[in-house]
Amino acid sequence: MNNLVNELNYLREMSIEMMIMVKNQHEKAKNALVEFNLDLAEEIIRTEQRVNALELSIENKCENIIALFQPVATDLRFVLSIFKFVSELERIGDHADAIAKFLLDKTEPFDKEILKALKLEEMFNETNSMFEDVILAMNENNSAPARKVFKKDKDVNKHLRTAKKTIGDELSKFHPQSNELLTLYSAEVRLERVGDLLTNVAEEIIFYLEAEIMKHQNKKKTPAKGKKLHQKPNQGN
Amino acid sequence: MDVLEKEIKIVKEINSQPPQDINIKVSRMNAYYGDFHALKDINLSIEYNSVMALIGPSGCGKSTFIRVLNRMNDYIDSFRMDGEVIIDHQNIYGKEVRIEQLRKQVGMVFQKPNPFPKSVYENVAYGLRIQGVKDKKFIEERVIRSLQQVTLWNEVKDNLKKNALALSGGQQQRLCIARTLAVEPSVILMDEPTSALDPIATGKIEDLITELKKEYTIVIVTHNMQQASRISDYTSFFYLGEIIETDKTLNIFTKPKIKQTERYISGYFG
Amino acid sequence: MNSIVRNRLNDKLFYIWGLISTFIGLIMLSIFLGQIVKDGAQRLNWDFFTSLPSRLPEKAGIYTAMIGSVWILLMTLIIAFPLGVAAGIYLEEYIKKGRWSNLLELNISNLAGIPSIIYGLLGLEFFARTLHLGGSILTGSLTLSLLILPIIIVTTRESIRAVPGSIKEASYALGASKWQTIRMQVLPASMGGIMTGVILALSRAVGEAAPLIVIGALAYVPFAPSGPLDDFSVLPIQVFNWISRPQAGFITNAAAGIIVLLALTFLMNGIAVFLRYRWQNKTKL
Repeated sequence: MNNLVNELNYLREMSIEMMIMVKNQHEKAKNALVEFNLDLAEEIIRTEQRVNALELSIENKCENIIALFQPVATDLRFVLSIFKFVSELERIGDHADAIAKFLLDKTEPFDKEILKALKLEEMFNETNSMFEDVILAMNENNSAPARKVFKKDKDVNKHLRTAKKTIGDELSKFHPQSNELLTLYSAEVRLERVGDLLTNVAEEIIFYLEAEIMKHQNKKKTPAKGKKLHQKPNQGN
Repeated sequence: MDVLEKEIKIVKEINSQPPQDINIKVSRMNAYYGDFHALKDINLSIEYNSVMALIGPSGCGKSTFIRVLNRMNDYIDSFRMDGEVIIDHQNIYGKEVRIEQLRKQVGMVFQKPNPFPKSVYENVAYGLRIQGVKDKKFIEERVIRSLQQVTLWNEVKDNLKKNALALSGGQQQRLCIARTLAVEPSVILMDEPTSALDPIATGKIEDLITELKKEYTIVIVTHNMQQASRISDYTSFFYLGEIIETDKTLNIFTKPKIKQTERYISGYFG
Repeated sequence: MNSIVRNRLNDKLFYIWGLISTFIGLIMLSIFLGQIVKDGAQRLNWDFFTSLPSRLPEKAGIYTAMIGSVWILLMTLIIAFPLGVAAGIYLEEYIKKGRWSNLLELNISNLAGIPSIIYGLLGLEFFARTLHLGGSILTGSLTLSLLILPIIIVTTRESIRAVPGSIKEASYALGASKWQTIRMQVLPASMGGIMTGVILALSRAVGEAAPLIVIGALAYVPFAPSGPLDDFSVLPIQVFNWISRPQAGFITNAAAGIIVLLALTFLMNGIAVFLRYRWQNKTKL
């Protein structure tokens, strides 16, 4: 019993650590973007590797706990839910990394008016607050904070819709089909995402069959497409 | 140091750790009951202060093997064996070995708890008495310490004269462990120690084993694979008298190298 | 009638049969006891216990016979107990099991069934004549020891066998030698059974008359024996002697003697039962 309890506590520590690490990446992304701070962008890109490594560690720990201790009921749900949400966290980390990379391509800060019109800071603040909710929920074993995020997510979605409309209105001053372009672009972003997600599915199948972890590795075995790393969303956007 | 750094450090240490000093080393051992070839070419090394679990279907030689380590098979007329068994750098089948001395060093706990029909105190003191120890104070201290080690002290301290057979099954088994600890062995052999006990008593004994391995080397035969995965550091899979695979327990249960091992632990046979 | 009814009937019949058999035995026994007590109780007084034998029934007492029986009892105990228990331990724990040991075991069981008078003849020839011990207490107790030795050996072996092998295993696993295991575990655990067996064997010895008569125990001993080489008599012989006298008073004496003998037997059996009870509680699981 002691062994299992110790392992579960350690797993909890690791997952909270990862949550905090990714939240910091997310906050730095906001500040880097809004203040056009290239140093912060560099930091984010450097830390990205550690985020990936931590995800692998946590997933490994989950696998070991299940193999060695066969947890049931709450313990089992605990291990399974951490196993799932660390990959969500890792993707959030990817997004922060992608945002940082946009900045490196620019030579001057973003127009403050545009930032305001597109509600960028509001979206960052809202998602940041959602982060705080889930970290609190995990820390205190309390589901009440976790339940607050659903409404906040609706607000985030609303901001996106507002931003999209704003962009559409601006562009249609110059191009009559701008709305069509925007919508199709959004669809293609989604498709690109589908491609990334399918590579994730493939990685998991290879893991099950050959106990080989392909995530975050150089995939020398992929046919000549040349895509090396774990697929990040919205790359080069 | 944050968690990630801790993890990286742990992984590095595990991979670079030189093998610990070996307490028990069995080489090219074969064992026979008359014509029956019970153990075939056994090679196994067990580190100090670790728990080695022996798993495998019934009748595959695990109990025979463990009894080779304290020479309890000597009492069976038809038994013979060849090969080398070295414990604490000494060949235990050598001519100069005194069996009584060996058994003080290598203790054994049996499947069905078998306390003597005497008082709790006398059960634990027995090992000392047969060595000729007369000092009452010394015996008393040892008895108390052994009972404390097995977390039985609080349950029996009010009446040490109570007949051991009046204790519950789990308490009796802990008493048997205390009895073995009293003579200060370096190795404790356990032949399915919890298969006759209920889950609560089993849990207590498993916690005890995890605690004991800090000071003793433990070899445990178990039919219960989940028990092996919970408490052991190394696991060895026996099948029809042979060792199929031995490895760190984590590896056996996540990535066994041999298909047969994987089939057994997945429950596809045995 | 169908099988259920038939089975029930058989059950009932067997039950009744068992009841009758038991009661027949009990009733016969009580009639016998009753008769004896009626005949002999009047004679049980201090005089009877302290008088020496005499030709006059009113004066004759069982003093010498009682002393003789006690001597025989104690000496047989001293000789047979250590020998029988040691032999039992050896045969059960030490001897190499095989054809010879099985033969030995068979022969010892047979010895237990040989008529006691044969032992008497053996004792006469070997102890009384060859060793020149005559018809003494020593001869008597040696002869009776031979008689009950097989019983003690068998009982000892069975008591030892009843000690669970797991106890011995645990003892060996702690580093005890074979003798330590026997001395500190097996014997203490089996002692109850052994003692019960010894006492029952002794109580049989106390009731023997034939072998003692053969070796030369006298029927008329006007003095109490004071040493193992003295002549002696025992209660059963005294009773036998009185019964064969014509005077009516001796019948009374005989009855009284039988009461004393029975009392002694019951006492010894009672001790055996008590000991068995005490010991079982010690080792009860």
